[in-house]
Amino acid sequence: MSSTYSNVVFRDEDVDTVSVVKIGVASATVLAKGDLVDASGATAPEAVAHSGDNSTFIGVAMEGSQSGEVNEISVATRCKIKIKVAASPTTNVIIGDACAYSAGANGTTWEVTKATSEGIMWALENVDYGESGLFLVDSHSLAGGFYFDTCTEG
Amino acid sequence: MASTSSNVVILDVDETAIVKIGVGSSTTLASGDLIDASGATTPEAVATSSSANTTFLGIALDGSESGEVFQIAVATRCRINIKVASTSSNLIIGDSCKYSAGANGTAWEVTKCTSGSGGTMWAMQNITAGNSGEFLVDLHAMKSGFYFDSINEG
Repeated sequence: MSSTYSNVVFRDEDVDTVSVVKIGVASATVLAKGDLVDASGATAPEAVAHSGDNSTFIGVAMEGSQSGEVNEISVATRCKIKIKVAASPTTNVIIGDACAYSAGANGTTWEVTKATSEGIMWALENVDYGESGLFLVDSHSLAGGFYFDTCTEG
Repeated sequence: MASTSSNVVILDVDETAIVKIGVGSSTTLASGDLIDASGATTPEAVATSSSANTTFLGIALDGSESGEVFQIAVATRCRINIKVASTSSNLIIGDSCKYSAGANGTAWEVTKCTSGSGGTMWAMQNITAGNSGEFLVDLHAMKSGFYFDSINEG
């Protein structure tokens, strides 16, 4: 059991189980189910801590991890979540808008904001700033976050 | 019933991305075999040359014995466990891999390939060469293997 919880809500049936990755957690890392996970180095996921981490965002933690634990956790790279849109900037989000990390960490409220680059999720409904709404995380289709190798035929 | 078995373990299947394709009467297949759709009329186990990556279609969900002529289901998007060749580089999440060795009745193995060159599946966890691990087969997202037509917007 993790010692914290996340404001990011998702239902198990809203996870594309085909796209789940497994990744080791560093012993000093505390994660909660619903945390946004950064795969910098691809060896130890950490909760995203600043907007620069959008480039290494990999998905949403499906399990928690306490300090001192060293194990693999499952991370959903494609799922539907409910997350808060930041109150600032005062930009409403409409369906299809890409959003990036704005604020939050393990134990504090995760927030996203409309992005023009490095988006890590799409809005699935119109959401006013300061409110929560539904978003689609899809690392493969968004081409943002931690990249999967690009392939071509041949 | 197929007369052979495959070392590829199917962990999860996206049922919306299953194709059905006829099997040649001389073809023996097992569930889990890597399927080549050259000609798109008769799937066969991938030949022992890496060039067959260009016509890779997916993972067999059914088996077929020699002499049988019918359609089998092939998963074009699924999560599998497969062996990484001992000669491959170690893998991290997101690395693309392609055929290295194997056929119906012998162990299937993949090897890390250069980003952009004919990968047929992505690593979904960090895997040391010579060991087995989880991979995502996704022809649509990878845009490799046996291609599905590209469609333009509008």
